[in-house]
Amino acid sequence: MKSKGSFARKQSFLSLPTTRRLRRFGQLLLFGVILSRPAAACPCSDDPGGRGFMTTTAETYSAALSVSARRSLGQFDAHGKLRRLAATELEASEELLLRLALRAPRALEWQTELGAASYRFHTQSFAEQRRGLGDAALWGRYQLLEESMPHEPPWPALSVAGLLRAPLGAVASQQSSFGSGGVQLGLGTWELGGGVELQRSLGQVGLWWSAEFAYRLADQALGRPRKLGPRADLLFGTNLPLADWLSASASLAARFVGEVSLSGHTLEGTGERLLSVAGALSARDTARGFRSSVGLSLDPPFEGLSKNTTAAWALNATLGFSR
Amino acid sequence: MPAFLPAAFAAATLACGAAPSTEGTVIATSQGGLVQAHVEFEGAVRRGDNALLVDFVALAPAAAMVQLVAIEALMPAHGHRASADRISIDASPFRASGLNLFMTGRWQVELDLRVDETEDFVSFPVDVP
Repeated sequence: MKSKGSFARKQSFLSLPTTRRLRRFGQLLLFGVILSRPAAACPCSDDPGGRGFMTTTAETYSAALSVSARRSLGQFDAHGKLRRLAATELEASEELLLRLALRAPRALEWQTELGAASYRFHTQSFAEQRRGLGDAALWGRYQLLEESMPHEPPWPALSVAGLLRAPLGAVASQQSSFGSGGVQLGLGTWELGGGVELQRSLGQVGLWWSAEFAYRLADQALGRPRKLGPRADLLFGTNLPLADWLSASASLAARFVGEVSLSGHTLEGTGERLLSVAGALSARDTARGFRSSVGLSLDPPFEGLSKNTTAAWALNATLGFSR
Repeated sequence: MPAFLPAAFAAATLACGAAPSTEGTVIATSQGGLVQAHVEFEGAVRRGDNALLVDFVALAPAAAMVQLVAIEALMPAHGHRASADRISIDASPFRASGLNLFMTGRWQVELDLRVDETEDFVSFPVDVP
């Protein structure tokens, strides 16, 4: 009887529309983080104060260089229908990303990001190859609350962030264009945003949840007034220490982008939705300040999961240093 | 089947704000309200080169001479852009070819017009499977 009831509930959940299923799943994750039991162990560690932070409160600066390779599996149309790439087609990119962080004052971390990418796309009737700088981004992250101690009422660590993205990347001109989905050499406009992050330990396991919202300013990237839709990124993740120097992490991310306006008209069906899963192994040498990680992410090629974007997988490796 | 049915269906679909069809005839009114464009893709819309037939019905009494100057398609979020290679103006309807909609997804197709001495344009969405 128990298993039958469980099966009935699962059927009911799966029969919900995709957006409702996502909302329900997000609510469960949020409750899981906030209402989880108090950590059995003291949360004090030399981990950064949140997944978005690059430094701990004991460190002053950090630098990290990441390289990633991405391959598209297909493209989702406006209805979430997936068109897989044929064997003779290719959409691929490689990206180099430099991130720097500085704590000044101690409670506030300033973080910058600048990338360069190479992008290739070809089908039977079209070929495109581009490379160049990406947009520059600046975050200010501030930790409002530290995670509660075991003897205190349970509460996660809470941090907030502000974002400014500057359009340094290659913008569309008469003939060139942005990459789709995976690599965006440039948005072509300024982006202002903010975010919030919760983090909590459950024994040895760490859980985090973050949300980032961004507003895109109007631009003339296509030679006429254009306004990209607002963006929301939600992320839920967990990490598990495997040894003093090694940990594993997994995350689930969802991105939602509103519809685009062109010449003052909102274009229906241009909003985007992208779901991703990722896993990584991270190593650190605390004494010397080195950190490194390798990861794999997947934007699953499942019909109806995403829309107006790309299904893809990506491999990435990062080497960082903090002091 | 009566010839007007696909056009009527497309008009009803657009009027309801539903997703654009990937085949059949699209009927759209120009931004300036001078003409109505009847656009028919040769075969279903497909990823790659497309050809289309474009005809116009004058809505304003003064609109007599309509020129199809250019056809451009945009994916505004990604900055993708494509344009028709050739536009035949020998006979009505106009025939445009070489419109390479190279990426799956929603494109916004724009017809640049000259109605008598006035510039106007028609814009409509197309889903590329």
